[in-house]
Amino acid sequence: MSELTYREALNRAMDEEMARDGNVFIIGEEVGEYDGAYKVSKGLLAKYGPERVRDTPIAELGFTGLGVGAAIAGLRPVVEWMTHNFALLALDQVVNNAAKMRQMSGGQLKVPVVFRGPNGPAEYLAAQHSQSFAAYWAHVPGLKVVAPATPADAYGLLKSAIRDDNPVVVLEAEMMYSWKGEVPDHEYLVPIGKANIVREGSDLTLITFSKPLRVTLEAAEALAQKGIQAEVIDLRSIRPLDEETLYASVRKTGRCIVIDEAWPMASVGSHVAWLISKNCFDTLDAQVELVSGEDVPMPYNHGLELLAQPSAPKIIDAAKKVLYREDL
Amino acid sequence: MAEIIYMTALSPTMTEGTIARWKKSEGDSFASGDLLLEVETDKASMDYEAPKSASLLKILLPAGGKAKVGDPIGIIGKKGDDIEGLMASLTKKSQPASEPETSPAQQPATQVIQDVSARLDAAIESHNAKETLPPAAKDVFTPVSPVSVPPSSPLARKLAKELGIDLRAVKGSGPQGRVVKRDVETFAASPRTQTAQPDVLVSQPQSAPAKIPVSGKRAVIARRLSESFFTAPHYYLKKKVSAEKLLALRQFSAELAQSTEKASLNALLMKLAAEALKRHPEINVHFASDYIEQFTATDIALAVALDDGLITPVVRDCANKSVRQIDTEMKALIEKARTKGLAPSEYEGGTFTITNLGSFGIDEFTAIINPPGSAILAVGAIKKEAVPQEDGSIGIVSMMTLTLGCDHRSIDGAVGARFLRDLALYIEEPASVLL
Repeated sequence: MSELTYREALNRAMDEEMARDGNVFIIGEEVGEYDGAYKVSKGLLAKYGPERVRDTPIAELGFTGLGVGAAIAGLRPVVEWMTHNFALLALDQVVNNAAKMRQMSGGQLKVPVVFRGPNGPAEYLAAQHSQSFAAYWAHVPGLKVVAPATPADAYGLLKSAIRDDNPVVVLEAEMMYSWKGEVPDHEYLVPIGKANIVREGSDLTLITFSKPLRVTLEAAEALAQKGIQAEVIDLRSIRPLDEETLYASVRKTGRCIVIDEAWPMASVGSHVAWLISKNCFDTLDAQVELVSGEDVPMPYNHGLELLAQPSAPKIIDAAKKVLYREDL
Repeated sequence: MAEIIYMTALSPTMTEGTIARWKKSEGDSFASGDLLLEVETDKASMDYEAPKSASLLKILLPAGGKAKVGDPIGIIGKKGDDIEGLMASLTKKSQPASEPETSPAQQPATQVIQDVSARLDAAIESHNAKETLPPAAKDVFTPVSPVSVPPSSPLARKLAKELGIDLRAVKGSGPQGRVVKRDVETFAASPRTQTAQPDVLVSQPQSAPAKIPVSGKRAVIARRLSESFFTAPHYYLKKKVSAEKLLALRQFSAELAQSTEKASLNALLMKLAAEALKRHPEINVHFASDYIEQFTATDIALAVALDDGLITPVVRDCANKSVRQIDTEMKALIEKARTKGLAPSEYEGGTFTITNLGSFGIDEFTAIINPPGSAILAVGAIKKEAVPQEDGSIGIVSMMTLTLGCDHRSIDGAVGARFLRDLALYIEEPASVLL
């Protein structure tokens, strides 16, 4: 075991995959000479050269399309978006080309491309740069979407994403890049499509993914102090979704809160809450609660910015509702 | 948002109730579970607890008023909530029908409830028989307020069905009186439910083992003692002591009070244990994983057997009370436990527990620690024994065996031993407490 930052874990995954497979290459803004806008690709230009670490102009639609084309032609590109906010410009290439080509070619074409970069709010970045677009990608059949919340999962899931023959979107987070965690020293893969029960409990189920895992665990700890045992599940993979793990937990606890930092309407969180309501209906003792980002463009004011995001107190408030306990 | 509260079935057979007294006035705020009013039912005076934390905005039915189950009795909500809409809707419903036998909307609300209830029953029967819902049943789901079938969670409905419980008899503790899992469990565990449905047991085949429902109290005992026994590593220290002077002191307590009533043995033991705890605060502790909490008060619990299970009334601060005071308080607590039941504040938080099976003739026994305390004293019967005396002769002495159970996480063997050694001294020579 080594303690790595999330950034270092991603870097190690790309480094190993580039060494393992000559078809893997990185493309994006500032990935080479600048070592990555968030230093995720640090040292890789020096190690693998400009053929395999390609700086691009500020042209998301262009270089994303280039990645899709290269994948169809047989390479395994890792496309870095400086943030998912900028990836909006590349939506057409992802939705209409990457996600469609395998099906529309009757399986003759494969699109083994990875799109990765930070998603969701960080700090002081205001409305246009503080958005979680998990649902935008998760909405599209033909894509896979993963959201590692720890360095160990960041390493294992990115390696799985690079080896997958389908287009995979990786949701990272600027705030998480410097978060540390134990990562096994040996090589391993985290399978796409398996949720992780981070904490076991019997009284209620907290389901989340990506950065909000941290506040969710804080809330679970605070609840434990009051004698409430919360089970915490990290989705890790949003599409495909490990539904059985979720249902087994909620059938055990009878109560569920979904935590998602995106806006509440048509979000991954609201979808998961619907699935639970539908498939665990007879075992629910309370309505499924959703703790989401507030339904507003992100305020620039830092106090409001924090208030607009899921927090441990908000999760505990939701727990009071599903447990019918006002005394918590 | 303001909401109406209704007369609820406070016992399974209750159909109507009379408001004995409102414990809150209009404008008062209260917390969930607070006593809101007292209701005289067919059986007894029952407490009507606040279903949520809110304020009493309007009393619709003053003291002395009679209401059928499901009738509105008051309005609660946040201070300043507008209640006019609710009031208007009530006026509309409570207006007597101008022409009898007209549309349901003009019937008194209770009549509508009964109709709906009957039609629902019929619909369910018909559904069970034919597996399809007859067209007539559609009307049943037309919203009628107040409805006789309370809102309930899917899990509560499933559980009620499994247990054969009529949800209409269950008091809901969720929002708007929603019946949730814990309400069904509490209802199933209440003794009233058991007597109301004796056929459940009778209908069992002769050879099948009887399934005795686990009462709420039994479940709590099971959970707490399992937790204690399976998390706290217990060890036991045993010591035989002479009870001669303790018995003499008991006798003297009556003489002193010029009455025939002697102080109870348990009160004497509680006092002496408190004195020993005062001198050994390291026993008066709670192991809280990352720290050890040392209690400043000596709150001593006594295990008391009731018909429906064990309870541990606590006398607070025994070290600063006389034996008589302890005795009086404990007797009052036991009486209350037998009749009305104790409030949690009266049986929780004992820092040390005494359990005495002497009256059953038990010589000695080991007991399970009663959290949050870290130690429990198990007291055996006093019996006369032949004991070699200092001078070599054999004396007949009243002896009793003490067994101290300790949580090794907070109390090491030597620490427990020092405490028991001193407690034994105080029992054998009560005067030593003064020295």
